[in-house]
Amino acid sequence: MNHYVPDFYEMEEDYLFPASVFSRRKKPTVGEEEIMELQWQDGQVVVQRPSKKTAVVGSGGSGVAEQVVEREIRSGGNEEQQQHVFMQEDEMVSWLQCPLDDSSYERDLYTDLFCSAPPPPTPIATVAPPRVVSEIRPPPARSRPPIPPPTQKPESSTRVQNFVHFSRLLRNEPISKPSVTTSTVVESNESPMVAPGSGISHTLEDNGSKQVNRESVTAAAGGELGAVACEVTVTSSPDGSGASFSASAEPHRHQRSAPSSAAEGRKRKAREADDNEGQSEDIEFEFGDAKKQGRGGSMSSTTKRSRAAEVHNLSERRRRDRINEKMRALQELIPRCNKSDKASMLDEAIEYLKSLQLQVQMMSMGYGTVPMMYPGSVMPNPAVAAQMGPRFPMPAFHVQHDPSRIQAHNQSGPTLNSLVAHNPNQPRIPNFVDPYQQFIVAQHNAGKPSSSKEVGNPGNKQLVAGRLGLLPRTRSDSVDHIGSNWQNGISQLEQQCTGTLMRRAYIKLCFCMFGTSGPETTRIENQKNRKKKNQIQQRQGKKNTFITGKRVKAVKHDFDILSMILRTLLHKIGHRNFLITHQLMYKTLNFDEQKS
Amino acid sequence: MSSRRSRSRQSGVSRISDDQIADLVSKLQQLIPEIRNRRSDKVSASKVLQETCNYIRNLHREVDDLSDRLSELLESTDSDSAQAAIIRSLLM
Repeated sequence: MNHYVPDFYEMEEDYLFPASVFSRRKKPTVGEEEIMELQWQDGQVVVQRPSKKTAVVGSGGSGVAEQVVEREIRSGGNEEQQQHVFMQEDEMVSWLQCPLDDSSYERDLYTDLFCSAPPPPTPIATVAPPRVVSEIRPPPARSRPPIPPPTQKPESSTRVQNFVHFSRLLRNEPISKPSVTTSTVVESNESPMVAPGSGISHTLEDNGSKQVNRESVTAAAGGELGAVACEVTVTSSPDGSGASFSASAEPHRHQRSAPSSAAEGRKRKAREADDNEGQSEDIEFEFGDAKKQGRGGSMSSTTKRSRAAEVHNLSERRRRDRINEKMRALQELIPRCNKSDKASMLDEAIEYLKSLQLQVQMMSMGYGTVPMMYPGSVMPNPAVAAQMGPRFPMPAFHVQHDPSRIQAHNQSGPTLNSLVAHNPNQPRIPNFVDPYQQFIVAQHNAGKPSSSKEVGNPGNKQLVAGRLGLLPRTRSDSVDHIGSNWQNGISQLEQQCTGTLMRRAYIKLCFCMFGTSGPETTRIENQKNRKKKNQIQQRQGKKNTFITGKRVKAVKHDFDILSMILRTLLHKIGHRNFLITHQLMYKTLNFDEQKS
Repeated sequence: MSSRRSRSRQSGVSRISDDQIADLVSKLQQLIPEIRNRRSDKVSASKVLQETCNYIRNLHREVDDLSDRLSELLESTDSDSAQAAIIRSLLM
């Protein structure tokens, strides 16, 4: 196969590098400058710079090309490279795929692999593979299988062997390469990368980088220090040249973040499952332990410490990456979220979640209530109402909502109609009643005699009292209370059971909640409500601008009340109307108070 | 948290927002029934965020389901009735 540049153009990630390429990579003889300078960038030789490499590496093909080119160029004068000619295709592919800074990687890698003498260069070698790994981050499991074949290849040159080591590493196999010292680092680095050999190419394509980041990190972690070094070196491959792991670790880490973040960004987007995380983490720990134990003797304390720190940082980074990924997913779920700041985004998520909960609650309640609101339909049974209350799915406020809520949903239709006297949810009633009772007591003392008098309904009175007591509280913390009281209120209302009563109750409810008269059932009531509203509002220290700054007018219909209530609740909670259009809300709120 | 500490090493500014974020995550945690009910002392932020996403998706599903039901209910009622109005309001 033609290893020269032109091939790279044609070759994509699946391009299989002949071993010669690897041999080329190794370029101990070639000065670093050469490596640095000779960067194949899709047909151009780019001067290698750490950043450049990263950028160039960005594209798998180009990256590969770069690597290949570099290697080829560098390997020109390298006899030792012959050994590496046999570099596994997979490895090559992985190498290619990983947008690594070739120069540094290769230098280090090669030096380690081939020279096996100079320990320091190892980072480079490791860099390359780790880079690949980080890029690809094939799941260790996946990467492992492909790795063995390369290892077994007879030609396993030093490099191949090193890769083998990596593969072994991935598999937790002991690494016995002589160039262990260097290779330890390399191995750890390579292990994630080794997978690349064949695995990486596969993984790259398969994992969509989801796992790669993790896996690679994990694999790196597997190597613990080695991995860290690898990763670090990978990122800072340009810097890696000659830098020890420890030394280069720091810069590498930083650098790594750049390419890895890019890779991770890509991969993260693709990644959705947490499985990789789990796997990677497990693998990571597993590897880490193995490596640490294996290396203990060979590593200097300083190296160990630095590696430990690196590993820690790596794990930190991984954790952060996971969190960032989840935050992005969350951001996508939230409508009209244009916040880039984490805190504000979380804040918005909280509000949205509350409003969503409320909406579901309202809808479920309404769904259960509306069938009840048939004029003349009677709820003979308080138990029914009580039953209705808890039955209504109160999202997450009081009960395990999902199963119960869904169940309630399913039941609400038919059960509402047949709702008499069957109270499967009895146990839950007390829950609903209790929080409600608190408000009743509190509010009753506060005294809304007028409202209660108006309704003439103990239930309504309580509701009103509860509402009134509830309203001032508001804000996010009271969502639960609002929900529960709302629920109780509704159930109380349902107890009244007649359309008129329901309407009245709704009016009262609106009155309580908005401090304004709700839908009128009678003009008188409305008038009274208005008075009460003012009184209540004054008592509450609220003005008519309570809800939205607009004067709330009498609603013509019950549904307006519900909408009003809903919006008021949301408003009180401080939600934006994610789910309710402002238009609708204003329309609802702008009822004209019934003139007598 | 060690993570916060390590992060602060890298950036002093992030330390402040880390606390904010932790606070928000805990708030979020309270809203999510699964996590709130099983209330382990410390739930990882990643888990909270994951559960939040799942929860929001569930809520979306429920809203859709409820909307469908309400639509069906609306069709079955008189358009002029109060119920219909209520249903319409719920459906927005």
